[in-house]
Amino acid sequence: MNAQFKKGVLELCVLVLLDKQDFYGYELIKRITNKIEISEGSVYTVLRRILKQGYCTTYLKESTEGPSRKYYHLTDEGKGYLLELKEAYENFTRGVDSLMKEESNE
Amino acid sequence: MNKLDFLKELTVYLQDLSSQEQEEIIQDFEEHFEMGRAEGKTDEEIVRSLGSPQQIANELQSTQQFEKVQVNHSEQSHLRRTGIIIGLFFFNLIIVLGPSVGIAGIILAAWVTAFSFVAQLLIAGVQWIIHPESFYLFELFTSITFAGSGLFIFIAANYITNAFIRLFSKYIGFNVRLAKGESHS
Repeated sequence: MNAQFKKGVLELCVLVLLDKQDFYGYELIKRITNKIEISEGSVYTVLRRILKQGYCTTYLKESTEGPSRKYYHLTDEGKGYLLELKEAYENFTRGVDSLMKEESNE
Repeated sequence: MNKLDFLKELTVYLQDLSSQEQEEIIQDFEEHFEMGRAEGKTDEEIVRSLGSPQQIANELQSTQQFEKVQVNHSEQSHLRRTGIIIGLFFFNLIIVLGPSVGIAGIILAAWVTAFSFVAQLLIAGVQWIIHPESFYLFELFTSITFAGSGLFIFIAANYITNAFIRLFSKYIGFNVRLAKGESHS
């Protein structure tokens, strides 16, 4: 798959998950890799990117097992951006779906 | 490749980033290794699913570079603008000022000529009234011819003046735009 495209979709996945609840990196990666195949390192690059753009914030939380974890929390700007991204993605997939249906009808 | 190899290689590729940035990134991955190990994964397995350090560094730097380019751009444009203003000043002083004054002088001369050509008809008229004995019809016709061409020069001068003013204000606008650093309107 096109790297740029994959990056965009991965960003969408991260934002969708963070919209539901706060995650730490490792947990987030597990959630995503359960469903789609990606190189896990890319998730960290996406996280850093959305952190820089102010779409999320981080905080440290102690855990019972091992070191404290860095949790990611979606900001309001992040939520707004997610809505935009979702709409663009839905339009895009709808277009692709209808194209594929046209193909099979012919 | 184990955890240390991975982090070392990643650090090498991240040299261009600030040390704080590098530290944060390395911390993220250290945390990742810890969690993977806690789940009973080997370093090799974790490294394999993370992907290559080079790839990760590239992705991180493409975000970073984007910011850097923007900063450089604004610094550069500031420097460039100063250069443009100095350049414009000297260009205008040396190349534009002389011809502009010259053209303005020619236009002024045209107005003066037109005015005097028309005015001399009045003088001829006055002469006719004061010294009718020394008046020749030939002189009157010559005067009328001059006055007529004076009127034509008026029209031409008016046209040229307007064109020059329009051109001049356009040129001033162009200078201001350049100095402000905006590209073509």
